[in-house]
Amino acid sequence: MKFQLLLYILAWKLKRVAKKDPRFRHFIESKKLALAIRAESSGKGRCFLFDNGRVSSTANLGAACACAMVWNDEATACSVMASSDDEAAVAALTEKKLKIEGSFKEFKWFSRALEIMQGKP
Amino acid sequence: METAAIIDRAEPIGIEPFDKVWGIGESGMCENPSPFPRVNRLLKFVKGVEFTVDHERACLVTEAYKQHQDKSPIRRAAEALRNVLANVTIRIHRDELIVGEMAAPMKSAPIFPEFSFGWVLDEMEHHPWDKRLHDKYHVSVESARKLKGLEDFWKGRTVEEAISARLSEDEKKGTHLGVGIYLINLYFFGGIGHTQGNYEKLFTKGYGGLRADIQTHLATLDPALPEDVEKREFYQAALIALEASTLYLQRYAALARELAARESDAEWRRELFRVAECCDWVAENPPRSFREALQLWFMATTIILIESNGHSVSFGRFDQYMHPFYQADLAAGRETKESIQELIEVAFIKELWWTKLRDRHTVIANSGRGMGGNSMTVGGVDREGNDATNDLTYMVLDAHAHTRITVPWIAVRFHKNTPWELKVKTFNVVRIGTGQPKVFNDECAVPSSLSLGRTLEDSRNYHIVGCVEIDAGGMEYGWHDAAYFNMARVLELALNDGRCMGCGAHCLRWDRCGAQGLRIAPRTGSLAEFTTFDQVREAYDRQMKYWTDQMVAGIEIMDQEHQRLKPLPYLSLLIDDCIGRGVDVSAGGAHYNFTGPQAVGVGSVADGMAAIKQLVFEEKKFSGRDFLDACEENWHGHEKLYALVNSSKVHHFGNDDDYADELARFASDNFCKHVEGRPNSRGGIYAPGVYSVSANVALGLLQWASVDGRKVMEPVSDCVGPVHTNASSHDVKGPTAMAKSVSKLDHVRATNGTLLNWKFTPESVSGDRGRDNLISLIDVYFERNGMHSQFNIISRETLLDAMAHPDNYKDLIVRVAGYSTYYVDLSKPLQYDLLGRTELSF
Repeated sequence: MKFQLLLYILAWKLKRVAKKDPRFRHFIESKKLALAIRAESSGKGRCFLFDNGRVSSTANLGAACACAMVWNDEATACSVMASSDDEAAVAALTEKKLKIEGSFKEFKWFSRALEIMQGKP
Repeated sequence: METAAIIDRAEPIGIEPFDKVWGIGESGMCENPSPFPRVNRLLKFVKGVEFTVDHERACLVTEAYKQHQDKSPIRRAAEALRNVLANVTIRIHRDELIVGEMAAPMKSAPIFPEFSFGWVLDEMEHHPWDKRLHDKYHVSVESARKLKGLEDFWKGRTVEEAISARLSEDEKKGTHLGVGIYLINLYFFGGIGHTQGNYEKLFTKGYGGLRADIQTHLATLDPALPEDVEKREFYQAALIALEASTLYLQRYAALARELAARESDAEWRRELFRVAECCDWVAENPPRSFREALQLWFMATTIILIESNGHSVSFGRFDQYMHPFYQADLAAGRETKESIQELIEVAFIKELWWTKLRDRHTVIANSGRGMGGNSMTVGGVDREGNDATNDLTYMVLDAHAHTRITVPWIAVRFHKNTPWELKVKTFNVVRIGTGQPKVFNDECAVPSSLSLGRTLEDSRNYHIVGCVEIDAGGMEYGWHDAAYFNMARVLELALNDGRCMGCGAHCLRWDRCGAQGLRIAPRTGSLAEFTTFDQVREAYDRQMKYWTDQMVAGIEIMDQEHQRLKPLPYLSLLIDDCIGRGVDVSAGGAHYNFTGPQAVGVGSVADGMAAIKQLVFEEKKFSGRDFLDACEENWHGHEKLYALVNSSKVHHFGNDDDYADELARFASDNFCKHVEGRPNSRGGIYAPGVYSVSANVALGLLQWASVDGRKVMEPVSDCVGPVHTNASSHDVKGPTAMAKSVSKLDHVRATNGTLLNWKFTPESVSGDRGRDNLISLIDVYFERNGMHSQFNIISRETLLDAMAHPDNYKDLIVRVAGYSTYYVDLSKPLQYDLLGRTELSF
């Protein structure tokens, strides 16, 4: 439940920043991407859709995604995604608590989008 | 758990039999390792103290910089040191026989705002050190507030900002400010260190004698000569630094007396009086005993750290310069072997007092919280080429077995006449499994040193600085860890026409580079179009020239800014020929001045080139485009090629296979060719090294997938070792084949050093046979001119269990590369890199 809520909030933030932040808007303006974040243990998650500057999301994971971030379990996903320490994600990838299915480049693009959303340089 | 006891199996050398076995793979997981209760007590106490960050040094330095803004940089630096040593809070804890602190409490990191400060404030606010996954530090509210209060003064005044302002875009793009082809951040953010004070000179003259030398030089200056005017500034600053050092020791003497006056325990009171007498004497005079020498040695080194922020401030040949005191004390009946052994062990523990705060990115690849790099060298030949082994050589090794901590970083020098007993002692300590000591080969290191222009006597008298580096102790400023340079990235750019693999909008440089249709490097052709393997080599050579040019330019800017903004008058007292020349060590005052950047990824380049040569140009099973696409897509959809590249059907370095070994030699030589002999800003030259220490993890995190079968973010190959990817270890033929492969590299040419890591299971090296196999292996490696080796004696099962149950393995010390630290305190990438190294057996 917490995991799904976290993803919902993330989607809301992405949509908001897409409307309000010119830097973010510029970053996503020509991007078409469907990326899923889900937990292997529960099968639950969310799909994030970027379509030429528009952001939407759905809890329906049936859509074909170019990339999926697959967490071992919801608790790990929540603790890493909520961490202020960038290293947490690196550690999760190293330990394979987070696996990337599909295009790694799209995962990197999405990670950069999140950084810009957070106002990082 | 067991308590160590002295076993009289053979004639003791020092206090222990040379062939004492302490256990195999036990590491630091032993309670009460020392026969001396005081040592065990002190060890327990220090281990229990938490790591903190302290503000006092930063505040005192800032105060002095404000007060002396009108002075020259060197005078200002000396006044800052004086203000710190005169006013910083000092303490003495029970059982300390040797006293001194790095201007901060035990295990507390002082801050050095004159080098860099922005990251400290940023992390304090946004990435709290006590919330880190590892390398945690606590900072009190008061310390945080005081540090924050220094922000305005240091804005725009730090070495870091000065360097950053001078670097061009081309010089930045390959660094941590760009895409991380090479890392220069050690000296970008911090001090240089990587040196050794001349303890022999200090023991001969004492601070008083050095003062007299300087006054003599001052008296001969001609005030009308411009160069003498500059020298006068240097000498006056050096006198201030000397006065401050004397005062610091006298303050400890006074504190010891004050504590003694209040002490009820008669034995500790007596020790406190001895501490007071000792500090008082060596505050001005040459030491007369082992204990006095040890006190001066510790304090002299500590003050270098307080002044310079550099790590890898090393101890040099401890068994050589301390031996006269040892002999004299025994002859006079002042000390016994046992009491000296205890002193050495206490001195080792004292090094745990020192710690260095590193930024959150650095600690991913350099975890551990140690000060770092305090190497202590023993054994080897003397200046005349004769075996220099003595009692202290053995006692230093025993002291490690009796303390089982991460410091000092002990190096044993082997040569063709090294006594069998020392080899046995060395490998019995190695087999404990703490990763200590490292072993060096005089037969390679001395010629290598000679090739750099050091004299024969100085070369024979070399010691190890930090992790790997050969250094002429007390007379050299070697800038030994100037950069870590990823050769695997050079191969990537050589294959991909100067464009990064994985180039995309996620890159911080995208808007200035890829989005503009630009490339990060010159166009040198693409693997998709090359028709011969020679074209690959040519492109690689051109890319190497371009990137080593950028790296050297950046390093020289760093060097010049350190000279301009942060002279080191105290360190200059202890490095020949600074006093004679009247020139600060940072400005070229040392007798020898080198700059040592290291090549990383020799195995990755060899295996990547071998795969291409074999599969694209000879067997023609895959096209160059296939390889480029596979890497661009992180091998996703290219599983067949991925499996093949990671299989033994392809030539791999580390298997005594000339096909791949020749390519490793090419990679290593090519880096050396482009680096060696270049002039530096201190009147010296560049000395290339071939090792990564743990930078292969950091550089791997910054690199896309590569043709050697690496996926994105995996480490590149470590040091001069073979490749291990997530799919497989590429060396499959055992330790002898590995030794033969690695010894085909030109270690003599890599004048800043090489390093080969070994990982054995405890079972494979147990018993006399296991020990002798280990000795024979290293004999073979050294006979074939290998330079240096380090060891882990640990099983994969233990490492996995430690990751699963860290509380059960708090004292499990491992060799990362160049340094040992606690496994459970490492970052996950480092833990997995260690886990992934090939587990060898005989």
